Amino acid sequence: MISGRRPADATLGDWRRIAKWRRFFLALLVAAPTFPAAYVMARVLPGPQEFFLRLSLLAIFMILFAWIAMGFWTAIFGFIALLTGRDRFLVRADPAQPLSREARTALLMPVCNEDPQRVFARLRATWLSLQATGQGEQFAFFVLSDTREPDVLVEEERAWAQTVRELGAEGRIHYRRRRVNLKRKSGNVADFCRRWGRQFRYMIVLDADSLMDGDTVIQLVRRMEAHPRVGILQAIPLIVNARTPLARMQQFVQRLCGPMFTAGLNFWMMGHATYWGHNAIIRVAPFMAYCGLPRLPGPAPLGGDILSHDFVEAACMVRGGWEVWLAYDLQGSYEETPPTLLDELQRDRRWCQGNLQHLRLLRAGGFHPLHRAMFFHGAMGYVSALFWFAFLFLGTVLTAVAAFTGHQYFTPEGGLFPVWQVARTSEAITLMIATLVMLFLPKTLGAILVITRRSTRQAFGGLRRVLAGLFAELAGSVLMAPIRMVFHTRFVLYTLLGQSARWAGQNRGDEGTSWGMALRHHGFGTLLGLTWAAVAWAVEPVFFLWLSPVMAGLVFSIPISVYSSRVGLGDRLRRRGLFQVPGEIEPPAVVRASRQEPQVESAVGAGFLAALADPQVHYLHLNLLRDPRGRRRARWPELRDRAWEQGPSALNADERRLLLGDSASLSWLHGRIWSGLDPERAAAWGVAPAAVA
Amino acid sequence: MSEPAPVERWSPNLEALLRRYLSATPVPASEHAGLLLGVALAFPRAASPDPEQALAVLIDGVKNWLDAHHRIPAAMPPIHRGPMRSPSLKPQTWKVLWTHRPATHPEDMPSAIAAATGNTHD
Repeated sequence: MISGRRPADATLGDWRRIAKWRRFFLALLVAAPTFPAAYVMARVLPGPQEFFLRLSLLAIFMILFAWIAMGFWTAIFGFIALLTGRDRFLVRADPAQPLSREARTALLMPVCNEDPQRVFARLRATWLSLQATGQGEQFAFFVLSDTREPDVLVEEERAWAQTVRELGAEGRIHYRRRRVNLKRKSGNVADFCRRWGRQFRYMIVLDADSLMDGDTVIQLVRRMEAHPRVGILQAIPLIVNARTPLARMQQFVQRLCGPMFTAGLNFWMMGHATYWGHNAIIRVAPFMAYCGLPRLPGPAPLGGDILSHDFVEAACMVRGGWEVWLAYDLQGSYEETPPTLLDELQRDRRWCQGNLQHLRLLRAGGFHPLHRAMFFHGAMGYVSALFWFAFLFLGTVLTAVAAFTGHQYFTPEGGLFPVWQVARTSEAITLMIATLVMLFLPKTLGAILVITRRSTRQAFGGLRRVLAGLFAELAGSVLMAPIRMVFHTRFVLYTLLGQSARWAGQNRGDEGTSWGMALRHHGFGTLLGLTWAAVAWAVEPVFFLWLSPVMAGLVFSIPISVYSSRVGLGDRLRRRGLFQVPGEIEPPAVVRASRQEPQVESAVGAGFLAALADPQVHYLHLNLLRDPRGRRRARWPELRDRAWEQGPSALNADERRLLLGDSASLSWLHGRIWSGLDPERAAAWGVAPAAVA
Repeated sequence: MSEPAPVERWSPNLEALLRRYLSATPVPASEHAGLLLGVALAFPRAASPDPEQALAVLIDGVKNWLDAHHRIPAAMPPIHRGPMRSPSLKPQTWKVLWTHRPATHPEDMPSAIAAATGNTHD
């Protein structure tokens, strides 16, 4: 038990005092370029007479510039930390330290309508890697399912049972599907904690697309053991298995700059860092004591379940007196990225709503100021798009007003003296260059870190490929930035207008975006880009040129979305070595293992059909059913009869799921299908008539 | 004790039906005869039992076989019901989340939490 005055952590020292100075220093560095930039901006804006328009533009500009400056300085701190290779404030442990038997750890994998084969391929890879360390006995895996799709849920059960059988992991790899998806992922984890949390000292929360090397898992536990004040330790997930051009771009830039940014974040966040919801180890007891989240008062989207729960859980952990750190030096933590722009945007829609909910917590009691800032920062991740949009729009209006009204040489205040037009081209160009430096220098620094070390340079495919990748990524991100801006603006507005995001599983497959789908989703953006470009050209051709990078992204958003989603194109880029990343040519063993999807045992039918027709899948499903509950039970007899009379296609997904909850109906149907009473109906369930001797 | 009804006395349809079911299971062919004999034993007097009833017996037999051969793993460990069972998670109410005052030092943590985490290094 802890008693007496709080002693300093043996290795981290009095980091809180250092953290205060670092944050003060960061605030100064952010403010330092923002005010001069705002001054220059005020001078280059056209039309001195539109005071309120100019003031609005300036205010937005300052917020955006400070936002960019913060990212810039974070990258600089990270660059220095990685270049010197020295960071005193990092949660480390002796790698030879044996694990205590009491440090029992659960690896949780919450899933919702994911591809079961891929989920279990990743789980299997992590399991095998962990067993290979020789210290796997004190770890247990829990697949916590919120799946609602009847076909997927049956396949999940099947894949789980097969995995357990093949790995000989009965009692070590568990599976549970919730009846009610209360509070989504955070509720799923909370449900685990309530029922089984006390059996474990730690839990490592994974995402459905997470993958972890066994050594990394051991390291995380070891570090937690060595630092008893740490409540959450976040490993940095590296993107793997990217195939489409977009995913490969994201993978490349994350490998290039991710370590630098996280080292930079660690520099000023220190023990008040955030949790990203997966690939992190959590001390279970304080999590249970302090991180049970309530529903926000009021209806969704700004009320109801807290969607981006991870940031809030980290803040609650710190509020409870515990520390949250980033373990940016740990390798062997992986995730996948959405393969297409539309998938990414669909995910952003949920994140946007979740981050905007955080604004309601800004004034809640007891949170550390840094976490309040992070709540604001998270919301700004999306609100900044609205500001960019407003900035560009107001800029267009201001230019149009100035162009149409013409310059007023004589104002009432000016008397007889004319106000001459002054060209501020050089100041405008200086400001633009400063902004571009702020935006693009971090990526260049990331490339420098890679290039200056022979081993990393070779792992990225050599100097030429690093530079080619860097420029291609810059071009791609410039083109996609306006598309994201328009979507994020819409998401912010939808959320503020009360429209809630849907919760569905993410597409992690490689299906590309069709032209029709792209037209449906990007038609508005294309039209907006064309109209905006036409107006800008009509108003002032020079202004059109300034805006052209933004307009290009919007006007070509449909082909950008389609081509960036093509696996074939991504594979061609890979063969040419563009966006090559370390481990791509010779992937780590755990990544290689995750690509080997297990051979699915043959069964009669698949999904819902298999649960009724295949004996083993049927019995497995019955075994996993819990006592029936709910008022909808009254529908079971009718559904059962309809299913038998009219075949499986007579039931919709909701009805199928409902029927899957009744063991009596399932057993009855199973018997009927195999009884040979009605071969025609049985054939509809995939059961061929018996061959009579 | 009555004599078991031999499978050979069943109608070809019944045997085909049961064999068809068995072929859809992971039960190896070498064990099919044993399971069919089990069905036959359940109907000692009938020469050829009712197909639905025979199938029901066979389904039970297959379930037992699957259990015995660990084909159906146990889903979850038992819920821990000892004194350590979650004091919380019982989520905080909105009011608690809103008004919570910070624990100024980790020393302020409930001792149960520190003990539970093995946080005894200091």
